[in-house]
Amino acid sequence: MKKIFAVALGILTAIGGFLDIGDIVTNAVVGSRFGLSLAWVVVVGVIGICVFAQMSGRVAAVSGRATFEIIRERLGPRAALANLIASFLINLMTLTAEIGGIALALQLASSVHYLLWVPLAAIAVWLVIWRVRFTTMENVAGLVGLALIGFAVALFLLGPDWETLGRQVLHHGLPDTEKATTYWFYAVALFGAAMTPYEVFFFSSGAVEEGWTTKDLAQSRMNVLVGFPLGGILSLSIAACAAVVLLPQAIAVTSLSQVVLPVVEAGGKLLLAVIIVGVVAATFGAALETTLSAGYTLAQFNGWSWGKFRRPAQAARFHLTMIICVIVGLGVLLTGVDPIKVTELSVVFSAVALPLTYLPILIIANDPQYMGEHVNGSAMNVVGMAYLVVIVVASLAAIPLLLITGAGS
Amino acid sequence: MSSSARWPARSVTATVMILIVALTSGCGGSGARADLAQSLKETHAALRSVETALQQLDHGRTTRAAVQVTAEDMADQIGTAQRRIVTTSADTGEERELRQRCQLTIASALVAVQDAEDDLAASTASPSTLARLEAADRHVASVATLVGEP
Repeated sequence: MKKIFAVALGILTAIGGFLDIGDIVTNAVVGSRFGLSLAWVVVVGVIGICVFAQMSGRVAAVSGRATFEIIRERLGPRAALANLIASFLINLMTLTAEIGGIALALQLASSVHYLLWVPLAAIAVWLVIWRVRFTTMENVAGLVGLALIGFAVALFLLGPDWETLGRQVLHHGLPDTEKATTYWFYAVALFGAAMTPYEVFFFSSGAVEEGWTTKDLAQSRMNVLVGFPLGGILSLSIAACAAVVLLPQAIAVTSLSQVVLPVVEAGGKLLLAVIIVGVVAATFGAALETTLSAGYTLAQFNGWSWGKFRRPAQAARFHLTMIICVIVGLGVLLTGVDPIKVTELSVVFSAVALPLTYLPILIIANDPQYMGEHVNGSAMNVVGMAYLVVIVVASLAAIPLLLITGAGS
Repeated sequence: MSSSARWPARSVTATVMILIVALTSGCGGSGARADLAQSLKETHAALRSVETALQQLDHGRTTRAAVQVTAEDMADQIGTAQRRIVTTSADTGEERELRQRCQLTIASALVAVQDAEDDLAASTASPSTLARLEAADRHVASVATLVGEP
């Protein structure tokens, strides 16, 4: 019974913790501009993050070492430094976007300007990281984040024409008002939103924090293979809600307040409240994960003592890194930069940096000396190599598409 | 630190600088009409968003706070559309005339949204608030036709 409860809890937190501000905003933007014609990217992205997380979780459970330690060992200090700089900056950008997301959601609930919420959100993130146990933090954010199921409920309440939605999914036709380059720009952005590198840093380092061993692999596999696809369905629900309500009115989403218009249309104030709670939980959970990931990457690269299972005094530089990152994110937001713009850029740059973290994990997961009997099977290798190609293509296309489309405008 | 050890940091910094310059210098732009059309499209989307939110409030389906935030966000969006037109250069007399019409139309749309914001803050939002937004939206649609937007 205890085992079943643990598996169910893991799956639920994986669903609730799957979405962050990048997923919420990008799916809503895409739904409002392209309908469900980019739904295939969500499917590709969800399978990709399942492959990536499953491999990195397995490597962490077998070796007891997290992603960045392995990257440094495999690539050498110089190449790993370039990897660290890119990953760290993108993680910082994502952290900034998540703190901004918390503030925007609280603004929606209170109409108090988001800049007044930003310092409170940043302090709350730091306090939770400082005081709350890893497992409690992960489970509470994931479970409350389940409130985002409200998007799926909203979709059913809207009573859409399922045939039209189905046609949008199957025929990847471009709306008259959009260009092909913009379509592909958002395809890359959506892929980057589904496969953000911080998720893998957090997942593999979390495995070490929780002391996973090979005995935990089955449960980890269940969490990933059941929880993430169900989280992907929530992503599609957000896009579908926007496609049903906003696309016909030519409302292209540029703010969080527009994302909730379909929800209100469907379920009124009650569903609006549920979604705001869900967005706060999802962005707060992601802010915790990105803050921890910042500490993990730098500490693991430098060989510092790290982990929440240690007292702050025993991992002082790890905690100091996180505090500085939260302060930098806070400082960036207080300049008045639009958190939604930061979010849109962070998902694109996530796609750019993805090969840097994916390749070392794929190499290690294939190394029989390192992995023993838990080395990648041939089926997993075929999928893993296919995703390496997809990831490299997305990474190479991201910046040219960003420049050609003027960041998708 | 040796010079070879510094290359990753240098190349990352150079790439970031190039990207910032490219993004802020409008590499994605493509002509006066395209800029005008884009600004009108964004203004229309902003007006429709506020209209939708006000209708939801009128039917008791949403909160005043959420509608206020929508109106503030959309005023910002129209402001961005307005700034784009300020930096749009026109090569012909026809383009200059179109630009002026777009400026006036977007300015009146901004006034309609700001009025809605004030009405919401004073709790005096009424059918006339919505009617002003709808009128501004119709005006945007008619100018968009001239620019070449469907």
